[in-house]
Amino acid sequence: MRGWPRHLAAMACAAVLLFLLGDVASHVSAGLTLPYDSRHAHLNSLGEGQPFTRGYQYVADRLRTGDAVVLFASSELVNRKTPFVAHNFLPDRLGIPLVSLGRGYFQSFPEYLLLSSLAPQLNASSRVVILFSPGWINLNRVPPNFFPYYLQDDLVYDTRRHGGDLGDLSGYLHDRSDDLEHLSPALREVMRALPVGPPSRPRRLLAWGSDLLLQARGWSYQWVAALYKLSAWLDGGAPPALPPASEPDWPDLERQAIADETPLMTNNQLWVHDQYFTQYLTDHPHGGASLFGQETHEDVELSYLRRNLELLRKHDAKVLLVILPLNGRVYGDLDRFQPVRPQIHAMADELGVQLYDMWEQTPEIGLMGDGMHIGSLGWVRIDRAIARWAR
Amino acid sequence: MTSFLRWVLIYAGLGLALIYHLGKPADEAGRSRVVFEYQQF
Repeated sequence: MRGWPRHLAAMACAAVLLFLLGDVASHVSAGLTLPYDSRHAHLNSLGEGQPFTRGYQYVADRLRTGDAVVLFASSELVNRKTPFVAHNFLPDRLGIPLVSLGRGYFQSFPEYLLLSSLAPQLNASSRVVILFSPGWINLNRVPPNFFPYYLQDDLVYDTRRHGGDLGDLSGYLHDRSDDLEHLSPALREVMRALPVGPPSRPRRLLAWGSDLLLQARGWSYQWVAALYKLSAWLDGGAPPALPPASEPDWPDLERQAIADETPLMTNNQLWVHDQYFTQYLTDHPHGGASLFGQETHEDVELSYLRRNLELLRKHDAKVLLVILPLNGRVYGDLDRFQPVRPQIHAMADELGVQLYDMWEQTPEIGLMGDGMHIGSLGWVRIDRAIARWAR
Repeated sequence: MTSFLRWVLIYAGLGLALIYHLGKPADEAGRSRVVFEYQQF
């Protein structure tokens, strides 16, 4: 065999070889588990201080093995450093492995995108805690400038690889295309593969081509993920050992938390930190501020919350949903959240999700650190609920 | 090594480079690592 036929045959053999090796890459990726490391117990975003791919694979391994609780929340995770925040307190003091993920605006929609891409990792061992802040209903999905913290190409490729739904992502990208900057090639391909507007032949052709390219990139991503995992696995030393599991004196911890917060709240009667009061509440020294805008988006927020819970329960994952409280001394319009609560309760009942509702807890100093972020006492109560649920 | 096997390995290497190129996510600023772009309709 000479000339072009020989080259074509060699290409075909190489393609078969690579296709078979693709299976090996997939097995390497699934077989290597990045160990839980309490030094990485909080990921501000998946790309925080490390390649996004590595953070993404780290969270995927926690969900797949169930060796740590995965906690989704938003700005309360980073609002104020307190020793009682779950990702510090539970691993370091009680020996409960936990990794928290989130920062401002990590709400039900970005959680849905992440969970959709990681769906194949979910199983009966997965343990997920979702802190739901009532303030989330103020927002329709996620502001464009926060989008890149939570969504990178990894999610798109993984979702496409396992035939997941990219329609919601495409809808969001089309809605906000004017405000989104630095769209990666993968996100642009999602927009082309799932176009909006009247169908036309060129548009359909472009959609087909883009989807084919996304499929190829999704298949290729497993190689890259395997390389990242191999590199992280070879780099990583032994993570520090966790203390033995223990049961603390919770009432004493609550007293410590109140003692921790009280000295920080001296210039106001709203039970918020002095600095927060000076910065945001001098116009409302006696409370009565408004939290909710004229238009709220509880339908959008609850629809994604439902889809998250359905997805998790479909794979038999264990889920704890926490409704966070707000500071009734600061805000005068909290009754607007009242009709939403029963809907969340009904949803949790229907889907067999354990619910911890902090909304009606008696206001106490330290429960909140400001208007909408929980303080040390609030964290102690969440820690206790998670510890009881996880064990 | 036969000439045919050498070509198989060369094409497999090129294929691996293409796979890495396709599967590598863009960096955090969203800058492209892919050299070709579709024209927007």
